Amino acid sequence: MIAIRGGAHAVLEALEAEGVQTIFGYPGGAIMPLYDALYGHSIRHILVRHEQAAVFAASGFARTTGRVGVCCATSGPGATNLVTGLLDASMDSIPLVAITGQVRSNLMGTDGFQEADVCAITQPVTKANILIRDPQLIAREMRRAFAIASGGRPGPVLVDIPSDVLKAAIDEASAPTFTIAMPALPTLDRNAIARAADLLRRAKRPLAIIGGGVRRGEDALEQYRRLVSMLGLPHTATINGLGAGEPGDRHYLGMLGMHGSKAANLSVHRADVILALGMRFDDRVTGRTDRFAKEAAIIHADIDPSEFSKIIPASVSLAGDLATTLRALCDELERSRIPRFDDWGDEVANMWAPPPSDKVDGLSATTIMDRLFAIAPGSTVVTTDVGQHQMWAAQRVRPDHPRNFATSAGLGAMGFGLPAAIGAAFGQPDKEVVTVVGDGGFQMSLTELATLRRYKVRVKILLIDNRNLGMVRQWQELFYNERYSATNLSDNPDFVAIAKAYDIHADSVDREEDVDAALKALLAHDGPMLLHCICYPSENVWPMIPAGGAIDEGIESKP
Amino acid sequence: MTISVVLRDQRLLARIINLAPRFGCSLARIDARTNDDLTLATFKLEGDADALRRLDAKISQIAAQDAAFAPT
Repeated sequence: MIAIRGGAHAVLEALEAEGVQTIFGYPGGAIMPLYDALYGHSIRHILVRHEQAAVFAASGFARTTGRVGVCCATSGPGATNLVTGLLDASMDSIPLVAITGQVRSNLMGTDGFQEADVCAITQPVTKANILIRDPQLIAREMRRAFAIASGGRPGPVLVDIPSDVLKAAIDEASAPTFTIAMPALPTLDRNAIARAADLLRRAKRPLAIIGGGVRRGEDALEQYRRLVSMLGLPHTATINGLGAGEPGDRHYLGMLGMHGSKAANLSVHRADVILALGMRFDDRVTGRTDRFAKEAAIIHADIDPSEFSKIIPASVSLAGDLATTLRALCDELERSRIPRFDDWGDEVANMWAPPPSDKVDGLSATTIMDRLFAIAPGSTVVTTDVGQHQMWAAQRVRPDHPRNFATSAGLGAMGFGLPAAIGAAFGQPDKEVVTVVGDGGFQMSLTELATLRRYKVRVKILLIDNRNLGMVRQWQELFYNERYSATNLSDNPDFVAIAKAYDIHADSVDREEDVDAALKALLAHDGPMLLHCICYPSENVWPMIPAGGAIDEGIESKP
Repeated sequence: MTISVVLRDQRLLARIINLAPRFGCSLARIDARTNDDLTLATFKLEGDADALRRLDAKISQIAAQDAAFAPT
């Protein structure tokens, strides 16, 4: 075979130039030239078993490393199978580049075999998408894709390349030179910093809320910890900001929102100044917006100015990189020798209590979660699927870094947990990776057991099996007169047998007294493993703000 | 409300058109013309004030991203 430097090679060279070592994907007709170029190439391709797993794995990689995740798929169905993952990344501001093969240029628009107008389809779910029609532009457009994905507020970018462009020879002599300038971040507004500092100086009950923006860089995390420790500031986190607080910080109140801690939610309700940092006031965070933090002046810091006053009116808007903003604010507060807020911080921290659990006749899922996070160190990378187990985990997990917890937060896409853990394991090969999944979501992605097996990925699967689509069931119990429509999974398969069929070590537990030993065995196993937890079927997640409720209206048990 | 944007990527016209009803707004008029790879588009939008404010922010975000990452 004669190696011709064609478009596909240019794609791989562009990936190498970006420092990409691992990509996740699934081959097919239109993207075969890229797979041919990958044959024997130093970039490692991880074959998943469904394109959605490829994009979720890339997302797990990006969420847990801070680097751009890369996935690829063929045209048509391969490309459309990426859509959920792209939207998930868009909602949570995750930097991804998805490369799709497209039908030959002369077939585009003719309803050719496996043709999809993937650029039109993905326009609302990507930060940008790029159709490359000219092989000479591959290097430039790939550079642009990575710049868009990682620059400013991160997000997913799709690059669509017709198969003839992937096959076309590159004419080195006529390749255009180019520069892709990273966009300038908003300039620090010193006046706004001074106004924010002044609001904090006059505050009696200030509170910080940290969001996913803190994951953008180590500097942001460092400055955030500096701020809250300098002021003795009570603080809470959105689900994407979990891990931002210094481990053991007594003024950290846990997650806020629909299933947030009572201490966090009531503190938001009582606060007179709220520092909202790198977060976007999702409805799962705010509850009723007309009742959210009515006594508080909001200082909103975000890299994306379009978020200001989108949901909650801001008294002061701080546009820009979170690390830069926080450093300037900390410096300003230090200069003005602002008093600490320990008394207020202690008062609200004293409200904190472990999340309440239902009394159940069987193995309690919350007991398993309590035990897992008591045993697993904060350095463990934890991914979750979506549903009750996700909330139980988010309430209890104590990551020592925000990149050690990855979940489909904004989109809430079931099927995320296992492939995201695979991506995390490739991104953080030296860390323990645990995915907490439910029986519903696991059945949307269990084909990835084959990926675990093939690459011997050291992912530990903690399967919380309550034989229900538990979160929907909980809402049916509480708000739909116990009409359990289509949520019963009592005919679940034998998950241990399934895992063993994929040659994955597996065990099960159904008694509380066996939980500790089972979890220790799971964490100690040298290789992928599934622990099937056979749980009580109707345990609910508490506290809960009922739909349409306000942040101070949380309930702790069934009314 | 009238919004004017300069777009490098013409396809973003469709994005903005699709966004308007999603925000509960309607398009009363669209004018667009292209010169030297830049499309100047003006949208006359109707809707309640809060929806228009949020739509304006979203369109500004789209236009800013489009402008920020153009190759040179």
